[in-house]
Amino acid sequence: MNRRTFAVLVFRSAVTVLSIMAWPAVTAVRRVIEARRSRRYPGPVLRVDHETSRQPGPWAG
Amino acid sequence: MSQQNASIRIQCDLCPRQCIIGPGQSGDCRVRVNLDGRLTAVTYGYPCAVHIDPVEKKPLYHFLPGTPIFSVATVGCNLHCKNCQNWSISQRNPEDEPAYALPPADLVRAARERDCLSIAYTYTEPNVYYEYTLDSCIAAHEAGLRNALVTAGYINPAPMEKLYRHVDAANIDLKAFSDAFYREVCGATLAPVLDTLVRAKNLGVWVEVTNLVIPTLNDRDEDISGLCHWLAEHLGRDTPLHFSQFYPQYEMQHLPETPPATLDRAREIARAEGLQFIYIGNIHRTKDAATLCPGCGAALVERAGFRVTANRLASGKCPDCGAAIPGVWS
Repeated sequence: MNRRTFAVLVFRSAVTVLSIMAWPAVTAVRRVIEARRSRRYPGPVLRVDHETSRQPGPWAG
Repeated sequence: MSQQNASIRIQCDLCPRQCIIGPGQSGDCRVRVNLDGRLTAVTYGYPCAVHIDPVEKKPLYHFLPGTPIFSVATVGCNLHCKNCQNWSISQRNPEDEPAYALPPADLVRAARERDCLSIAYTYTEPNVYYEYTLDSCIAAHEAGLRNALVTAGYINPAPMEKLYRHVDAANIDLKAFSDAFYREVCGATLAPVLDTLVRAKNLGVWVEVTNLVIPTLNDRDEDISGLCHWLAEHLGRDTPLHFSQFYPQYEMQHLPETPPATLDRAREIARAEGLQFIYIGNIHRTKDAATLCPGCGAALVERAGFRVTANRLASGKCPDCGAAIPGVWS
């Protein structure tokens, strides 16, 4: 094993270990994003369009 | 909001999934969210679909035939059927779909202004926007309107009974008479649906059943006869059954549409099992949409598509032989 291959292996191992260690932080950030998205509802709220509402819906049922 | 509340997980006991929901996250239905430690139905009062349909489109053939029904839905569903026809709203996050601000009182007012006799909670799954459905049903009854659910029936008994006391009619989807089908195609289970059917009938709700016949998945003779036999035995032979034609949709684009011959065969099997009111839907065939008198065979209510072309019922009875036809006719 030459010096360059050894350095690459060490670097990859370090990245893997750091990724695993960082995972709780990643999930915490995701949770915050999810919470913000949930709170954002109702998002774009429209007024009921009288003409549209008088037509049958395009969906089944 | 306390730190303690902000970090607790909540179990939703509305449907058999019993989702355990972390802070800021939603249940499997996408619309019931743990916000600040409280389970919140975030689509309450915000339907994404508001339309007036013919009641035949639900389909409800024995419920105020020929009348318009004010139809609403919010996003979300607790099933994830690979063949869903309404996946663009049922499998969507609340924040991603434009919605209308229509709280229960406004919903009832809108239905009355448009001369509708009833309100349908339909298109997606009324069980997941439970609180909105319940409050709207109560407000509608107070205003003299009727309520109809179009549902997969996947709900726990206690909330189901609380809601159905304010419901007049329900079209409940019995997707197959197989637990394996429910698990593989819908991500659900069969038993709670059967339970809902029986409970709804016992509560005096007018129940019609829809079965979407999907080639290779639930179209074997034994599948259909099992379903019909159970219906006849547990709900009664006078329960209307709608066989629907499947069209390639959503994640089931690889299957062909249901051949008309399969639907004819399903109807013959249902007839052999003793069911009296069998309809074929999602396909334009006038003769399969008529309500026939089980006593004398006379055509009582004739339909073309979603339109009623003739209604010979006299106070819910056959004018020829006098047989009473079950349903909600006025």
